[in-house]
Amino acid sequence: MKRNACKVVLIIMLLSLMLGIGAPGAKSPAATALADAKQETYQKFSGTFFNSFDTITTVIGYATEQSVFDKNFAMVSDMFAHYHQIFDAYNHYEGVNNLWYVNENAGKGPVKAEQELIDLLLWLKEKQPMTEGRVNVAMGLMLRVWHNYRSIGEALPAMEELKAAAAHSDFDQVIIDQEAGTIHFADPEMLLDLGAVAKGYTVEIVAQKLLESDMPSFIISAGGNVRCGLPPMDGRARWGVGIQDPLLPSNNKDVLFLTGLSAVTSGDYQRYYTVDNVNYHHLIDPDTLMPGKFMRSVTVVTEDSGLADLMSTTLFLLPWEDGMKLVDAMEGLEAYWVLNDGSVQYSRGMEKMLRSLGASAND
Amino acid sequence: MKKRDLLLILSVVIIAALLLGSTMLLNRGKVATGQMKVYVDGKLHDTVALHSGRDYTVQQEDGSVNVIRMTENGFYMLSSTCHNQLCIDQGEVNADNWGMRSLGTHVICLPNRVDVELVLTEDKTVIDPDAPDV
Repeated sequence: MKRNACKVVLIIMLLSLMLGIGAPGAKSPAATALADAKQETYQKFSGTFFNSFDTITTVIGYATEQSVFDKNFAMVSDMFAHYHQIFDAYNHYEGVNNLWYVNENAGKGPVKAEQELIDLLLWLKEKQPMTEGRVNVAMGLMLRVWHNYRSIGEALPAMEELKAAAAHSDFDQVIIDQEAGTIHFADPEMLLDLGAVAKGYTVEIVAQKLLESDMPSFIISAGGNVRCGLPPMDGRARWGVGIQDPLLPSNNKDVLFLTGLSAVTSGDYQRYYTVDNVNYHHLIDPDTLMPGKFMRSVTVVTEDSGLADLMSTTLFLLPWEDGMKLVDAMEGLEAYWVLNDGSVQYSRGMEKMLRSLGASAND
Repeated sequence: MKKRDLLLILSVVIIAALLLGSTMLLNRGKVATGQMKVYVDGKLHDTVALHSGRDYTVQQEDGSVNVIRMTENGFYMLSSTCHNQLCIDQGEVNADNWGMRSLGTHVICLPNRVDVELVLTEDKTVIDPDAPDV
């Protein structure tokens, strides 16, 4: 009797071990065939690179095979590297008449500049007036003062120094000759700073290229500068984009559901330095010449990533009530504010995009 | 060794094997989705897409803090304010090892009531469509 019991027990043990070992991933041939038939022809791929705009860029795309993604990922990475060089204000690259080169030489007379740089400046001549003076790429000299102090990280710049630099910030003094392909600073002291737009503008150019490619279902995140293409090819109608919590940037405050749109956030937690236990971030109010204090962050949603970038800086430097009026007056642009006490405000069109308000990737 | 001892040892081994076998059987054929679910006090706190090297922090009103470090296809508890640090000893859970762990797809901090779960699904479609992509 006892012997029999032992045998039964052994058999059970063996059986359970066999089941256990065979379990993960094991499927009957019939089940595998069924899964294959049901499976979408599109797969999700993703890749990351670090080489541009001092940030991490992630590309996610749905493609029929790995090689299609790899090809498009390489194109995105190359384009970012290319535009990064042209819009780089701090480094010289052999044979590239980039922003650094123009800043260095355009005060002495007209200098030949890369066409991409001229195109961005022409775009700004058209769009910058929408920022109601909150963004001025001609404030480069004043922003360089802040940049230098931030790099050292010990002290605040003196107000006289900032004011003296801010005296040279009239964008009208930037003379562009489209035919000759040259830029000239009529104010020889002035400098350009494209920090508020270069990344978003580049993301938009890349996105337009991807929309025409064989991988139009994509999402790019360049350090929080997000652009979605066609919907994800996994049955969802929209992409999910996390809005960082400024109080705890590793966590999300909310999730936005978007397709064919950009989302760009400006926040005081992104780039800052600390003097006497106070954080001084990089978004400088052109009136006070000090970091803006109206809020913790603001996220702008609109189609054009360059415009989203420009307007997120703009709204960050306006009291949210004034920003709301500006947003209401603009077609196809929405915003989400996280105020200093952690409370939130959002424009009307946001209601159908926010997870906290019941929006979903499926609708 | 008496037959009784042998029987006892065997039954312990069998029960362990059965437990392991049954969890595997339950999760048979499932794959990781690249997401984790964070529960606090038994309630779903957040669903997070895994990004290697990124940290997720659970900060509670009582002052307790758990930091979860994400890896290539899983995560582990990087730090915790709890007194016993058992959650850190639990190590990493990922797409390859969850089937062999005693806690399966979970890393649990009992003192802080934090439970983190590697999300599995029957097939390769996303189980929580509302988790952010980026």
